[in-house]
Amino acid sequence: MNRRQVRHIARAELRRRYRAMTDDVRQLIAMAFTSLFILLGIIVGGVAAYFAGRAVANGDVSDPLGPAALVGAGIVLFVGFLVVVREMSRGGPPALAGHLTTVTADTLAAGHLVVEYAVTGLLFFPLALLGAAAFAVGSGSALSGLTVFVAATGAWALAVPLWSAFVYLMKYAFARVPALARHKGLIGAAGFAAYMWVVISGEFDTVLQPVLSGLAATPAGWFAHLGLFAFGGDPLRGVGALAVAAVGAPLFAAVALRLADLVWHADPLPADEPEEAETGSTGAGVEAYLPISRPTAAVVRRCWRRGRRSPITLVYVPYPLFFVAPPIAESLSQGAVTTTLPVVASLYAPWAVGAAFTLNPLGDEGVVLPATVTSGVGGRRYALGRILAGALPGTPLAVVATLVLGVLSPLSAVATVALAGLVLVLCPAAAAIAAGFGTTLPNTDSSEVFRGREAVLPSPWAFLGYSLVLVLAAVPGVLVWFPLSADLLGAAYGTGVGTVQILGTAATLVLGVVAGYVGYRVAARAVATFEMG
Amino acid sequence: MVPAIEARGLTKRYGDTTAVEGLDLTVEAGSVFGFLGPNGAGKTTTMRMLTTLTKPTEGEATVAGADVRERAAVVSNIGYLPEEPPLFEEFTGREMLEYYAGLRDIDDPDARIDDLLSRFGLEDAADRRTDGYSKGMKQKTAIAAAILHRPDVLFLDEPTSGLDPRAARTVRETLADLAAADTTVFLSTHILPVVEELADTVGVLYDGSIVASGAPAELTARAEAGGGGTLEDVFLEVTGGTGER
Repeated sequence: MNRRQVRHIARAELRRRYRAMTDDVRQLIAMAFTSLFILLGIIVGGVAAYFAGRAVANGDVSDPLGPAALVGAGIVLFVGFLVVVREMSRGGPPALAGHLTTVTADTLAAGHLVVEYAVTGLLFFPLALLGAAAFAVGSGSALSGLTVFVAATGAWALAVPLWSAFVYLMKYAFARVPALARHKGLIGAAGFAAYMWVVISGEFDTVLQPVLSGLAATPAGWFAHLGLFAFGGDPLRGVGALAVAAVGAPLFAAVALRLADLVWHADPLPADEPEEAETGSTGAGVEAYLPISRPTAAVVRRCWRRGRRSPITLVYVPYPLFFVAPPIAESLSQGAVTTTLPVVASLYAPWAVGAAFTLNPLGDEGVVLPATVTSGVGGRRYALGRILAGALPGTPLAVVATLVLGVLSPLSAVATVALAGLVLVLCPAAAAIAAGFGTTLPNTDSSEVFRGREAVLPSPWAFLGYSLVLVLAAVPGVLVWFPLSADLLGAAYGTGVGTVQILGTAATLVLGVVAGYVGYRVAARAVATFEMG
Repeated sequence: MVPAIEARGLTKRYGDTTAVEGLDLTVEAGSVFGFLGPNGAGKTTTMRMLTTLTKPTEGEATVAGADVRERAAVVSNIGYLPEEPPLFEEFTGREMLEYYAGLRDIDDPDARIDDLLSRFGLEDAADRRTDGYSKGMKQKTAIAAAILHRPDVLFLDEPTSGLDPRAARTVRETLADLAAADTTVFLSTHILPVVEELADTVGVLYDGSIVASGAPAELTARAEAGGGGTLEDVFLEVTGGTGER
């Protein structure tokens, strides 16, 4: 391994990542938000460390080593989370072939390990320094501040290569173990579903606790003895923690480098691809039986095929799901569908339908755009095809889901039917509104989405504008079916609840239809008059 | 006979930058027009104006008798192959052609699609996704899509770029067949032997204007008089001695 090359690779990669981030406004905005949360976390961590130090010094905690071991395990786990998420979400080092024909694989892997240390260190060191200082002040012991910092640093130094090795092991397994290679898409989807389930169901603590306890029982828990050396930590285990970090970090780094070599030179086994048994110009989908023109049907079919084969392009569909998470969690915890869930779902469903195929009609065409524009398909037929692509499958599903949730909830039958009616109108309206915003604010730049995979995603501004208009149109109709808000509105306007509900529903229907029509016309015109720069 | 392509004073400006200035051009129906020029000369902008993808700032142009400002009238008569093959990587070659047939509202396109797949030697790969295609296969699929509806005028941007000799020959033969069947071919390329072989007339664009035009034989004769003798000599002479700017 050539150390100079390692440093060179690390510096270049850090520069590349910095530029990639600062070149992309979306990433900058996301980073700004993340930084706020990180800052908040650092402040909270510092305050917690101060009170923990005080409690330990005052003897308020009978066994401080137990919670401290959990904190040490938490550091190892948190650093692991950062490393795993970042490493698994990219396909491999950029320009891999160029690198592997220029430097040795272990040099390249070492360069990227240094990058991992640097990136996680950016997050870790402010927290560790502030936490250690706050603990020292709280406990009144400068020595404890030093030992806490050394212990935390040891845990971090061990965690980075440990989890890097784990990631390379997983990559190698998914490349070379037939059962994993064949079903990696399914396994990934199941993993994501499990993660979403844990988040939505509010069972995060239940899942995390045994993991942390298990990790605390390993030598990772010894860092607590090092950190609390001044407050009864076992010196032997404290020294053991140092030894674990001093020996483990280079050991796991060596393992990571070897595994990286294996991964990058492995011949991946093929994943099972579905048979392409759907060709035929007449089309076998429902669009073939609708009274729509052939070009419109072609657009519908194309959207469905691309969506199915590149689901990453539908990334905006689950975004609004986070807003439905609280009522879903509430229903799960109560073991019954609440009144809120079908009402919120009646807004989410059209939102998702609109976000599916119509938020970036022009940008989504990619290199095909010139051919599409010069194909003679025309603006109206193209826009209609896009809208139908989302509305045709989405509307019936959304209506049925609303009806089922409504029936299972304490909502009245009238409310359930009214909400289903709203969904029936709002789904196509949402798709049309999205088409309007998507063509007005197109995004043609691709960005890395997952594992090095580039995709042209809709503009966040289009998503924002679309969401705003849809919510404004939907709110009157949806709000009046919340029992409490209908009562309040009725009382405020001195009228009956029934009248409020009728007016609110009618307002949403009218607003939805008008906004949808305007969106459709805007989209049709934008496509018809589109010019390349 | 009405020219297939006619431009008078065609100009495109982007702010203070003039991409194409006062372009005059006439391409007879059924001919192959070789459109040459160094990088940045304005070839792509010109093709975009003629294919309605960009509106001219000034001047007039018609393609197959239709004003280039009237997209609907122009696009039904043209086929266009951009520099990057316009294919969805998630689609198979056959699906891609079916998609374009649908957009073009072509009745019963299956026989035509099979014929084109066969002509370009893509039958075996037709039901594989295009992301697994070689560059040549992608290019051939894209050309098949561009001529699927038997356009009167075909615009091709670097159609033989990146093709192996066999694939390049297939493309050249196809273009020759199209020209023989009275399709007008507007061919933009850097590969001068292709132009020499196929083009009836050549126009050299430099700095946004046509600086030389005529039959390849006329131009090479002119170059011979100056000590040269090939289209490359003509190209280098009229574009300032270098192809790269």
